[in-house]
Amino acid sequence: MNDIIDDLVTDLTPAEPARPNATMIAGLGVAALISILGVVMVLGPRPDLMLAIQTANFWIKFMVMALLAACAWPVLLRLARPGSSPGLGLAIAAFVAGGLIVAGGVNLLLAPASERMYVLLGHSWSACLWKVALTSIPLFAGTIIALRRMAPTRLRQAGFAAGLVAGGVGAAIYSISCTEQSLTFIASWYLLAVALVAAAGALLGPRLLRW
Amino acid sequence: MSDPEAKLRALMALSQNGDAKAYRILLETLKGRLTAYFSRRLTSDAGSADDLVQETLMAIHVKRATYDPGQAFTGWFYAIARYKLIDHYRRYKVRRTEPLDEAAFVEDMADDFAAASARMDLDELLARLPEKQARAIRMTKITGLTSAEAAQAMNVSESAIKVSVHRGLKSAAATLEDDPGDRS
Repeated sequence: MNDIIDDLVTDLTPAEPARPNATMIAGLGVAALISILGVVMVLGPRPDLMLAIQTANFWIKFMVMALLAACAWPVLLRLARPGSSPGLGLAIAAFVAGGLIVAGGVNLLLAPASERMYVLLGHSWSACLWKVALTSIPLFAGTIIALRRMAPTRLRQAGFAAGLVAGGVGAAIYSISCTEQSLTFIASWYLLAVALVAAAGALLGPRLLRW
Repeated sequence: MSDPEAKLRALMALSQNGDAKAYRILLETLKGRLTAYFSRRLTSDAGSADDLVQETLMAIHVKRATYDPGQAFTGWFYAIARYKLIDHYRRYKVRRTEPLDEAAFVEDMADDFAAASARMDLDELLARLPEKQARAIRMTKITGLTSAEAAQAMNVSESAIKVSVHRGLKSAAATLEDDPGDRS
């Protein structure tokens, strides 16, 4: 009757409490290296990278994308453990995204009518979508692998948060290669790409994270 | 040590240090809780409820490192039980017999706190019932056995258990309504 308990008691070894933060950072860190290498070697850095990193536009793009990931990160850590609430991170991420959309919209309205199409579409909007998604794949995989070592119980939410982290970091890394400068472009295509990765995470989460 | 949460938390802390005795007590306690939890939600599927008890105990064992000593143990524990239940529904696409919501979860948490005082009232109430009915109710509703298990333990048929429980609860309810007249 109690043989399972006997087995488990026999199998007991001291268990050091898991540290989601260290595990997840390791997973994400390794994946980030792969993504950076991929972007540099396959897509190539933008030709004017050294000049670009002295401009505010480059860093706004980079920081906003990193900020989205940073908002989802604590959510991911909380969801890695059974019985902890996800917290407010996703609401804050939505707020950041909303702010970006407003800024992008204002930027579009302020642009001269003749330039509006370019401000919105840039010269690479379709490429941007799939390149950000591609850059995010190793990050998503690394995050999911690390998450599987923990014990998430809300798989869809955890998948979404993992996708948001991967998409945000992926977009930030892709900005090494991307020459688009317009805030409207970031607010539309970058944001859409990150949202797609997050949605894919929510879709795949229950399957990938099951234990 | 009358607070179940504090007791379980202490047992878990000892278990994480490798204390086999504490771990056994912890698992036995959790097994009782899980049996009650799953059989209440899978009333028509005792086999699956038993499987889920085993599976959840196993999951708790494998994932025990993910319990953070700073967090509520019952929260961690019921999150895993609930996850295994949802996973079961997903796997077998069984229609839920009961809405699966926070209420059920809160109900389990509240059980811990209400249990002690309720137990006293319950003892009083059960003492007024015929021995057979009282035992049947104790086994199925308090210990958390299935009707089949209780039948085996009392050496009667499963339907006899169900009848005893039903009659017992009915007359207990009548007592509560302060109508002791008809209790034959």
